[in-house]
Amino acid sequence: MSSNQIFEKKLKFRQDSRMSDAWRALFKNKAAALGLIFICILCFLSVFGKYLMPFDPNFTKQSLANPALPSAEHWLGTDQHGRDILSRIIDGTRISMFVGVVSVFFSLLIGTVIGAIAGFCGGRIDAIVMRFMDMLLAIPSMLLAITLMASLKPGLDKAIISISIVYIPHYALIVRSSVLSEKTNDYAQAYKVMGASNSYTLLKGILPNIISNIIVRATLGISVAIIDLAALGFLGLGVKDPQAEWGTMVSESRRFFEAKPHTLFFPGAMIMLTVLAFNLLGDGLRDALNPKSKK
Amino acid sequence: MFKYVCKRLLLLVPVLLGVVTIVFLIMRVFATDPSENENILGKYATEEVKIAWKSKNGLDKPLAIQYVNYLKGIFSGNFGNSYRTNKPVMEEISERFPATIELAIMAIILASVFGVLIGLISAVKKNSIFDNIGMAIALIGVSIPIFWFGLIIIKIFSGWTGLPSNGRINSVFRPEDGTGFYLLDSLLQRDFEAFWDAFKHMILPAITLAMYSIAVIARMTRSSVLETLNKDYVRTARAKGLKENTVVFKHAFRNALIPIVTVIGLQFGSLLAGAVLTESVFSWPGIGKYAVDCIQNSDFPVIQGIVILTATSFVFVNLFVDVVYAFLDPRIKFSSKKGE
Amino acid sequence: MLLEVNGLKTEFFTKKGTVKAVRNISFGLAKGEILAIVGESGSGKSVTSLSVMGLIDYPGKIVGGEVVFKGKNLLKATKRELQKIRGDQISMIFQEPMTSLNPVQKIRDQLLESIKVHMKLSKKDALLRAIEVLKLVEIPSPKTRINDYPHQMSGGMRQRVMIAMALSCHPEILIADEPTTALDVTIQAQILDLLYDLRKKIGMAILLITHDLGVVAETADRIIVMYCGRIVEEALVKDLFATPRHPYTIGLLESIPKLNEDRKRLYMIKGVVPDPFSIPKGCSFSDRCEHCMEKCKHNVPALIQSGNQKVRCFLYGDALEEKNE
Repeated sequence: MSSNQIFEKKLKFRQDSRMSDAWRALFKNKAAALGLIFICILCFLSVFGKYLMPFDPNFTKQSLANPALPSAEHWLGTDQHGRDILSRIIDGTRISMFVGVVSVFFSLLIGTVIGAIAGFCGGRIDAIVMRFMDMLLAIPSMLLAITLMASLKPGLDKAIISISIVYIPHYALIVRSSVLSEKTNDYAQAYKVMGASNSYTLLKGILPNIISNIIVRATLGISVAIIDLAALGFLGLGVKDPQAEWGTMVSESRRFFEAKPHTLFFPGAMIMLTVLAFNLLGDGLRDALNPKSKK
Repeated sequence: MFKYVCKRLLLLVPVLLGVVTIVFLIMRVFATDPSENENILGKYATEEVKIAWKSKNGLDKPLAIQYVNYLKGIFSGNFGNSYRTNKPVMEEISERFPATIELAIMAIILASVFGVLIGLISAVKKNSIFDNIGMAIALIGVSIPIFWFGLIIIKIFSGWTGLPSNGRINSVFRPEDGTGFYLLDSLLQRDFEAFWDAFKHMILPAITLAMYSIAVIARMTRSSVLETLNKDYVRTARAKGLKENTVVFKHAFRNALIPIVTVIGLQFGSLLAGAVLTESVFSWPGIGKYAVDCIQNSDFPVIQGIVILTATSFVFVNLFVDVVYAFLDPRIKFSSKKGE
Repeated sequence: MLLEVNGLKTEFFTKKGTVKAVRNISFGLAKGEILAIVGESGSGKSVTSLSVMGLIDYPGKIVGGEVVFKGKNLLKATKRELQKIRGDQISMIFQEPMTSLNPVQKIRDQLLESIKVHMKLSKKDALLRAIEVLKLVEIPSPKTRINDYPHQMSGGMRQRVMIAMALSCHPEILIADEPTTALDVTIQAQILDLLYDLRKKIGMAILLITHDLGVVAETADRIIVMYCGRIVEEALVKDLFATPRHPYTIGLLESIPKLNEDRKRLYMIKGVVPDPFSIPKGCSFSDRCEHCMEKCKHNVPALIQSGNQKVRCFLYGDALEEKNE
């Protein structure tokens, strides 16, 4: 075995044990574990929800002109069209989780590439890219999102595009600054000395070291994306009716809010719990992956 | 110092120009043709009417010409006319901007005071019941959708406290011409009844708008103070025999302020954006609610104006924060380099 | 004795377990004396000094013993009483002058702060006193430098300011926790000379914490050598350097490079300082000791008198440490 192989094996071992340490720390953190369990339930609902829904989420009962209170038949009541709220919340889980994960995936992917290139190349490329990111960041995120939605017109795909674009600069900045600080570290220099190519150094040397930071940001990012989707839905710019979406459900039930607050309460509470779960997990991951932050 | 500010101001020009360009492109390239929108020309507008309307608004020219014209307009303070009302965009916005700013200032004051207070108590009484409650509030604050939170507190508080949940002021009290800041106007005109009414209208929306920022500022304050409490100079202060309060405030908190101020500055941007939702919930006649109305009506010049104006305020607030730094941290020298 | 420490025990309650940082330590400090506590990192010397000041933070806790200053047990004193003594009668300087001063306050404010708290002086007199102590620690042009921020000064200057701050209220004891470790060698000598001179001028006692026997040789009157939270040897400086008793002390002295000796390699104590969670059951030094006997592994020797000095080693007697740790 060459010394190089031994070195890599040791490194691998160290990374493995670091990961298992992180897992253990995560599960010891009760709040984070709770968040993770709730997220697992949400994932389960997204995939198998349609077999669990008591009613067709879009089935309208004409006999119920007004929202009905929770009953044995409709556990969380119905909305103004007589649609079962529980079924619609379950149906909305799929949309929120999908948009949250996919939009974070896109902005993470593009943001990481942009940030990594800018940070690694430096010089003029860095300056130009970062000035462009500054411009996007100068527009408050919600305003940029609704502007994009306004010109793209409502729809699930458009919502994903808008939310992704809005958060690209955030990831780009994080990745860039991590790359910049890691670039000067001894091990990155060591790769260079060994004659590794730039892209090899970046992929094998630097990225694995900033990945934990990215994972944390992405987890927290999903919560932000979900809350933004709901906000777009609330403003009537989200996914199209009749597709059930939590924010839209809150918005639609505003009219009946005084008399039938339950129509508004349950979907909103669901948004909060989902976002809370991702925040708990994200905070827990940060503490678990970054021993320094443990106080 | 003066030189530094000038330099920063100069650096803002390309950023703002970029914002203008981005917004212009979003609105003119990706968006659907506004002449097709029923709310502008009606449902049954003929092709000729549409073409005439387009040429009137300069939308028939090539994109580059439109862009140059738009830029020219902006430099002379003309953001074009609203498609719906035909009034100049600046006029439409300036009617509503004070309402948003007034609310945002109220919210940032609330957020700073309560955020810093909660964070500080949590840090000093780390792991105590106060810390746990404070951080639970903060966690809920970052997780709650503010539009839903707004509706819930209307339901809970508006009823039994009699606090209004709609609009800025009872119309009988509306101050005639003035700055547009009702609290200020009513004070200047010594109309205390009007002041009280405007203040009452502001309470619920300001709390709603501030909630997220309170949470973010509280978390930042806590971690920042916890960090400085572990610093060597805090130990020095204790070794000097100072009282614990002096140690916490003059040494730990004073040093922790620097990152806290950054977060407060950044929160101002999220308040301006959060205004879109809060104003919709409370029918607050500011630019946020107006932006949503305009979006539903494809009133592009107004949206462009609002986005540009908001971005400009945000950028200036951040510049202001950077200047405040100099007073907080003597280590920062305003060299000609951009302070990053 | 000005200060008397009896059976001091300080422990840290961490998630991994309890660390006994200071195990039953007793010593005295006479008026005007310079007493040095020497040991490697982890020997408990800094914790001892912080315990005397009452500056042990969570998760650390003083679990036993007493610290008697002028007849008063500081461990039983109220917070208010301690604050009155700290910085006034007992003051302290730290290892890191770069981070021990508040970066956002002028030197002036930091100096005035302790003067205002402890001395009833008018604003003008307080300022005069501040300038006076800066002069005392030989800072050039103190009237202008007093308006500097810490970042405008070098490390040596900052340590002088720290000393000035500590001296400002005429303390009777100065605790110096590794005051020269973070400084350049030439500056180290200057600071040590300064401390030595100040002792003569002011007549205060100094408790000097260090890991460097070289520092001690020229400055201190008496030395305590600590290892893993216990005192292993206590002697006057001249006795210790002439006739070191404990194998650890001998090892430490052997590993100091000497100019007039022609030796190929420096002596090294084998092994490393044990992990705080797995300190040997008997004599803490047993696993590294060349003279280790069977009983060393199971029993803790007592600190016994041997000639002019005190030593904790079975080579000099069979007395056992009382089991009260």
